[in-house]
Amino acid sequence: MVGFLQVLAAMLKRRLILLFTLALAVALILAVRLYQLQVVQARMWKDRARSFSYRHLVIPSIRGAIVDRQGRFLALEQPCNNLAIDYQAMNRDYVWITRQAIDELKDDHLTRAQIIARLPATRKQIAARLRRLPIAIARHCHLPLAKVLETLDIIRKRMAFLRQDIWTLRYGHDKNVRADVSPADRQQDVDLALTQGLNLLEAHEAHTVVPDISDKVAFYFQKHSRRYPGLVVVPSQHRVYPFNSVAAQVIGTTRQVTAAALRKNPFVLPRLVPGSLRDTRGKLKGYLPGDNMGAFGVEYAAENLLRPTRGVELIRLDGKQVPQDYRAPIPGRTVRLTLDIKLQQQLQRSMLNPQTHLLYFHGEMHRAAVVVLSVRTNRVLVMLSLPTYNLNRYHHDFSRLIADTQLPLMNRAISSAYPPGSIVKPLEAAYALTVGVIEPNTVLNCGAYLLPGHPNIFRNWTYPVAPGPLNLVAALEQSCDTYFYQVGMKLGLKRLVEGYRAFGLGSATGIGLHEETSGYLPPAQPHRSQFRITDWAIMMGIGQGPMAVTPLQMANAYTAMLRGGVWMQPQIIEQLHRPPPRLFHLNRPDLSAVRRGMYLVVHGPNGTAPVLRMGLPVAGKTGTAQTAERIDIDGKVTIKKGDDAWFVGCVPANQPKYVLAAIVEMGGDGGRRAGPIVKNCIQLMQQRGYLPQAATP
Amino acid sequence: MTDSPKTDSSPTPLNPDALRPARVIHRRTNDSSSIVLRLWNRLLPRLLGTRIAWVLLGSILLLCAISLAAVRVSSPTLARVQEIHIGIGLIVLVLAVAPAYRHIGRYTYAFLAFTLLLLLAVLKAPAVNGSHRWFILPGGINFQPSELAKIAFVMSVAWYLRLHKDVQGLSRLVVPFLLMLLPMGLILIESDLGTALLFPLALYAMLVAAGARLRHLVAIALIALSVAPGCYPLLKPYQKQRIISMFVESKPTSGELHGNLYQQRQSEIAEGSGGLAGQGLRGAAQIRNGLLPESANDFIFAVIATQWGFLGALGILILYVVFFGACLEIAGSTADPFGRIMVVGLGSMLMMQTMINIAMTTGIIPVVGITLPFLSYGGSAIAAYMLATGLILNVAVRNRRAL
Repeated sequence: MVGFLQVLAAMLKRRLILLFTLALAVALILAVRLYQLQVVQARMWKDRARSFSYRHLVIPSIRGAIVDRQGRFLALEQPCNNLAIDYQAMNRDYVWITRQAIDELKDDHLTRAQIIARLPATRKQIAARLRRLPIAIARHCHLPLAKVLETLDIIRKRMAFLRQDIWTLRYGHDKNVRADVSPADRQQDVDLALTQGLNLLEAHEAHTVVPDISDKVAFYFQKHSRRYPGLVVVPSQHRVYPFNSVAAQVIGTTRQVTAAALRKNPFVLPRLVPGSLRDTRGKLKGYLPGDNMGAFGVEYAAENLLRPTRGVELIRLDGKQVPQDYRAPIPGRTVRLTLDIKLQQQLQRSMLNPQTHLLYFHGEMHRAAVVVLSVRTNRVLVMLSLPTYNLNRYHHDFSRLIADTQLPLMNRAISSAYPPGSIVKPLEAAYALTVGVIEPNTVLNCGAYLLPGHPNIFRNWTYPVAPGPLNLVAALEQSCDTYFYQVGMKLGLKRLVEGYRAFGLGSATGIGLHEETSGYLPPAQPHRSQFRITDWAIMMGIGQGPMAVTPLQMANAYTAMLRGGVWMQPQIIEQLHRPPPRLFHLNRPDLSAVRRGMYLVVHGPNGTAPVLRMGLPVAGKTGTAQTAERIDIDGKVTIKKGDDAWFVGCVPANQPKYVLAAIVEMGGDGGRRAGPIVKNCIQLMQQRGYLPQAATP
Repeated sequence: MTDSPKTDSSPTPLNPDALRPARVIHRRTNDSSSIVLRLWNRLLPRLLGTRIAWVLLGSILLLCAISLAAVRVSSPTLARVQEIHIGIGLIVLVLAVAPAYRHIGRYTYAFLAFTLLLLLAVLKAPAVNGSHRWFILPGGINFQPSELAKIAFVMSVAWYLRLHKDVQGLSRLVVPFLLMLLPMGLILIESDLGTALLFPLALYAMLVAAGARLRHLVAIALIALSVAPGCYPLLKPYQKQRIISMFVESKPTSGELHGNLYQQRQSEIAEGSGGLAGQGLRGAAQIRNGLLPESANDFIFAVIATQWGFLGALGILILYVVFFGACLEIAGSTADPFGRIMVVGLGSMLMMQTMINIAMTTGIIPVVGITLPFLSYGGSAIAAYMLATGLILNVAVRNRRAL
């Protein structure tokens, strides 16, 4: 105190007091600023600083499996070896190279002086080897160099993604930082920040360049590890499809995440606060560049179930790395399909066998689709589309598959619409009976052609033979076209279209697979001339004209009819919820006439499908649908005009449990070409215990 | 008051020439072998008797101790080197106290000329971090001539003003401003804006202490400030960037994070996260984890503020104020104009550097690359500050007016 007074006394006489006051004033300003920073705003700054003492460790997880109704794996992750590259090596990081060079020289048991002397040369060597790495990878893994370089680029993007996450954690508070800065500038910022302390753990890890390398290649790279610095073989897993080509279009496969999915559902790290990992499930389930996602089929449709959730561990960077918080990774759910893959496999085998002549006629394989639906639950037991391809070689064969004019990638059961032909007749009959346009005993003349004096239009398929007057049952048995021309005409276009719509034709069934097409039905009241409308009604009476259906839609319409007017959404993925059944009015007592007709199609003396006579009574309907030629974008005719062969069967005939729909593209006669396929399928179902060997009384 | 140390010298028992006239003794003091003896026998009693000198010495020694702790947080290796720096610095301090300051004063223009030569030479030295500020001496020592130039400049201005006690006329101000412009210009050329800024500030402090008319000083300052914006185009791009980013801080662009403001932002985070009482070891861990790169140099204050919080930071501020107060007290109790003006100059030079550094780390002003005296890591800097402290102590122990 005395000293201070002395100071004051001494300075009062001079101008030093002025200097001291100025210094004090400045010190006061600084003190106020410090108070503002450290006391008033302390909480905010502490939040920001946390990212420097805590860090997330991202724990990988695995994608869910797909199994069939009996739990057989259709798609699963299997262990494999991946060829990975160290991120620092990939970027030819100077420090990394130096460390590598020192390690290498130490391995040679050199003295310190020798190491120092040889270091620059060794460093140069290693850098040169790193430069050659992509070429070496491409050569030994038999990949194009461009592909390898592209993969490396994806790894860089992945890192940028994670960096941006941490960046947002630190500086996201500044609203303007995100809003104002262009993406390019942001990237520059992030790159800069990385060099200035934003050091990611992932930057010191190895990233996969070539997944699933063979043991031979893995051994080669491990043996010559010195020649390929930075390359490591890491155990990993990859997607395997044990049933190769069976139900390939249904199961689908995976691909690298698309830019759109990445934008819509990105992986976001939770806040860097202990206890905050609880409520971030959705973000941890997001995608990182390079992740896999479903490409099509069930893999895509059930992506939300299959996609795994990454785990996160929060560690404090105090040297001990003790986890502060932990969230376990959640593997993707196992998706159960209603398919019986063994049944489908056997069916596919017998169809693809040229000896059986199910698909091979005159040495040429026809394209075909088969759908089997259970009547009670409306679940899909078989969904077959031929030709098919090996899912495990999908990416390898992709360029060939996409160029194939047979369109093996297309799931014909749901994404191809065909003219239905005669198979609509039972549906039409059921609806006409309900409306009251005809009675079960209504007899109409089944002539060789509909309009007197016009033998060239609206012909019966028996032309020039005229079967004569027939009742409904007989008309179904013989598939009389003129009878149903007249039914169509009686119903009129509006009611006919409404009827078909009630059965679910013309709109997607909503089975959950995104490839499904809706088929086509004209609007009930089109702006067309009266003649055209009648024209359409007549044509649609026999399933021709402006309408197209998928095999699944057709099978589904039959199950709806057999349940007596209860439309249900068909199901293939068990976990997907279905809307409640939709009821529509069908006159149930009259349906027995329709079923009688369908029974006689197989068992009647004039039936169109006697080929299906077997121990178990089968009902059904044949269809031989005239198909227009298909023209590709170059104007070239890819598929010539012809007849699609249909058969839709119900077994057992007295109490249908299953509906089977089969189509052979350009097969010709429905009974002779599609019928045997259905018969084969029924036999296989009998073998597997789905159906009894003979009718139960 | 007499101005000779000879008068109050007492013969030592070891001195064979004890009975000789004082003049002879004085000559012998120039003999380096007897400097320690002289210090031991004659200065120590005086030093012990000078309470304010102990306050000064105490404050800087405390700062040095804190420096070691803070540098250790940043890097234990650097802390070990810093120990050596401080050791050498203390030797420099003792050496600077030993000879009477007015004898040193005689060589002050020569000293200035020498440092100007060094400043010229350093422009030819290889650039470090884009500017020519350092000589890289063998053994990895970085030597910064501008540190010496600051002291030489203060001493020469003080030496000039000692004869012109009344600097009332404007014409008397010409030489001091010339003495300032020479080293300052060279330092500006080597693109060390922060250090150059200290020169006019220190000059003003000295002129105020010497008794120049405040009216003149204010007028000159106003003219200089009005001319200053015209100098803006002369600045280096990165310096412009710093000034711009300072004004657009509320709306940060990508420029914010390109190095200059990045450091400042990180420093604010570090200081702010210190809170009232500091984060202790956890704060140290954060800094080591990359919160504050290069934390041992210009931004050492943030390290202390993180670890010891607002209270610690305030303590540091108070230590510097005590240091400056002690300097002013010494100046106030020194009648000799050379000593007085030199002490004011050196003290305010260090104090202003401190203020600017802290203002920079707390985000009040743009980043100018200057260190925090006594706390920041650095060999030549510590030596220079110790030299300055030694000179202040030299004045304190030699020229005390009876109160």
